[in-house]
Amino acid sequence: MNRRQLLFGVGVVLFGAGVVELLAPGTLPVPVAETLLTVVGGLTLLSAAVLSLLGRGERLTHADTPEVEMATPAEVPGTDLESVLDEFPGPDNIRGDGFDTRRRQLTEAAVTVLARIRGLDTGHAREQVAQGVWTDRTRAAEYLADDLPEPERELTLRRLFASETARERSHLRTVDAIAAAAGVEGRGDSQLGDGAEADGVVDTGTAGRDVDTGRHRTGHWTGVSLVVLVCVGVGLLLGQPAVLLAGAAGLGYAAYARVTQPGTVDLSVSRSLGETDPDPGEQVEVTVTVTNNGGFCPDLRLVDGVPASLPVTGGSPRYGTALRAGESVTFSYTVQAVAGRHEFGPALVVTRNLSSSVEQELLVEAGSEIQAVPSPEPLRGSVPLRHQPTRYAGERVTDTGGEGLEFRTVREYRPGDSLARIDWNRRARTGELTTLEFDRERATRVVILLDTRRSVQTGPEPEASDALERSVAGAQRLFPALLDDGHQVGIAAFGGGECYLAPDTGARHREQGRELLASDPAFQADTNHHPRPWYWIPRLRATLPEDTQLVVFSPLLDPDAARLVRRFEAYGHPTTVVSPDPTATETPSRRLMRVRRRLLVSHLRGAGIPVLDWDPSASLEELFTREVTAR
Amino acid sequence: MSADHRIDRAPTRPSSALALVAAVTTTVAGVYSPVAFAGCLLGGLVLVTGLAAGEQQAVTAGSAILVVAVLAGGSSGAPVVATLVGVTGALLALDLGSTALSLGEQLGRQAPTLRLELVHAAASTLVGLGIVAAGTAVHSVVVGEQPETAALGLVVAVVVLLLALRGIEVVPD
Repeated sequence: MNRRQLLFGVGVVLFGAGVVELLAPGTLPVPVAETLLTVVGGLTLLSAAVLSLLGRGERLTHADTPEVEMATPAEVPGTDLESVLDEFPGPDNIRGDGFDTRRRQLTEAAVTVLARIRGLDTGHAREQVAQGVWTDRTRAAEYLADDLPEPERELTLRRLFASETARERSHLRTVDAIAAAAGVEGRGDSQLGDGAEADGVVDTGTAGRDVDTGRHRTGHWTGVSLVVLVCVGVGLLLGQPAVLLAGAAGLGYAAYARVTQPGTVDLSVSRSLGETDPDPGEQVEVTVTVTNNGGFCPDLRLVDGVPASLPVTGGSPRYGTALRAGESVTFSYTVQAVAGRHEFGPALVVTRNLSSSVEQELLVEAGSEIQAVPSPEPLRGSVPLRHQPTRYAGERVTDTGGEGLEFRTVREYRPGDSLARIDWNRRARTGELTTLEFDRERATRVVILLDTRRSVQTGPEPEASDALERSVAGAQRLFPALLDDGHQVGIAAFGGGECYLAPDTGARHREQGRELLASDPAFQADTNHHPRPWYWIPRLRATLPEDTQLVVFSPLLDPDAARLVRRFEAYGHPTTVVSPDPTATETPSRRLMRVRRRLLVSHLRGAGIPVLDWDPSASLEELFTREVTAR
Repeated sequence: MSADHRIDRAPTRPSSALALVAAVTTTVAGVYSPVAFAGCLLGGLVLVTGLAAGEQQAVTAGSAILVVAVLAGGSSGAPVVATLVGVTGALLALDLGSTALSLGEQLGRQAPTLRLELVHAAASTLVGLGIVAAGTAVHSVVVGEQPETAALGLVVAVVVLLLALRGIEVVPD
């Protein structure tokens, strides 16, 4: 017999004795003195004190719900200073030397900026940094100078408590000075930007959510038993029946919390969409029906699994209700379609019993998806491709002579020349056998290659389109434009090589490309890619046909991206980079990120690879026209 | 893209309003004693602050102040039924306030939750009414003869039973 059963037995016996005494006073030979009342009252108050001390850690808990209304905010590149410095290019190589201390890293970054942007030679740049004359910001200059005055050495109280933040501050000051030396200036000196990043990652969907499906107590009625004990104790001590009886309130609710049992929850959720293939930007109404297949469910809180990539623009995807057995409820909300394919996650359901003392979380699967394919909107104007001789007929005029329409020259007949190209007039006039040469009008074979790594999902501010969205939107317009120009165009993505459309022409191919860009998992925000590029490069290389130009969409944020582009250029694929710029300038480390990107861009340009730096405010047309006129 | 800002996770309005009604009921029941009345006003103020700020601790503290104020009134001679109604109201305020908070946190203010809140509030209020009715009945039976042994026996039995009940987990381990 355990303690609880013992207590229960004692309680029942006492209760029975009380009732007997109540009905027939004097039956029990227990003399009740004032002292006994006081002792019992004191003991009760004591147990109340013990209980409240024991229960101090007890808190009301409730299940958390994700921010399904938000579209996943774009990460602003350079928010973390450490990661910016870790892959900062060195003065002589693109990888940098991977110094371990922050000060060495900053020194290298300063030297790199002086050498690569200011045009100093590396030795001279190093000297300037060592002497502290590279910037007019004295504290930054002093921090990197060789004869660093070391105030940290003084063992002061201030150092004990504040040395870390003081060091952080001098790092940020130095970062700011380096960015300024590279010509990137902006406001904001602190490390943190606007609130969104301060909170860390925001959960914007229910898919893959880790849900504790067991029942757990909510602590909703925490404190009611304490009220009972206090009432009884005080009531007995003071001899106040009013206070004593008030304990009944606590007792009643304590019993209510215990007695209401959570039933088993059996729900089904179905979702219907106003449109499953809307145009991007269109509002889509989502109607959710929840049916209770089990018993009465007094407290049902539902958060629908809105795709993480879609923002809710009207209504609420959340619903709270009570459902009788067999009853259904329907509610609806509106999401804004964004280009791409978006899968709805399971609905997150939190149920409670009638008294709210027990809570249970569950995920109810309800599959549906929205696929928004942008309508074709080919880029106007010409696309600055690179000159290249190829073997396929098309509009781009190459410098080699051959078959074509436009006359180029006449040459001596060689065996094997087509009869149709023999200059029969000249043959009749002079008896000479000559062959006509025309300008070869050749199409270029182009593959649009998109950088889809997770690090690409960054934008200048959390609400802005990230670089991946801009890249896909750009490719969506470039693809039909290149087809219109008569080229054979294909599509590929970084990472894996499963997403691939071989270069081709024709109406069907055009539609395939549009679909691929809109729906391939590679272009979805939540797709994980192989982190090591050297793993999938050989596969992609084997897939690409020879004599294929590449147009690479990449924000060029990390040295890997630049190295990949150089690698493909070296493999014989003339490459043009269209680089959506996702960098921002609100904090020193973000400014340094912008500098890092500029270094990578100039590195590629130095290697003869055209890089079209795509500012968020400019259209692709403007960008291409500028490039065409510049050539 | 729009609507990127987060939802308003403030406590839901219906339950907050009902929690205030409960607190007002308690305050009205406290009019017999100036101390109790003043304490109730203070408790109500803390409760309102807690509901406005979405702070569970303030809601709990407000209800606790209400209970203490009512008990102080009961100790200084307020009628038995008024005291019982006061404590019941204070606990109801805690229940409804906490519900407003958890619903606000989980579903936000914009989500339709009225039916859930009404069902919950109706159930809790019915329990409260039952408590007051039962308490009044017990009081009217016991108050005449004052058999102290019986009363004490019953009270101690109740406390012991309550302690035993605490050990019972609704949630199976």
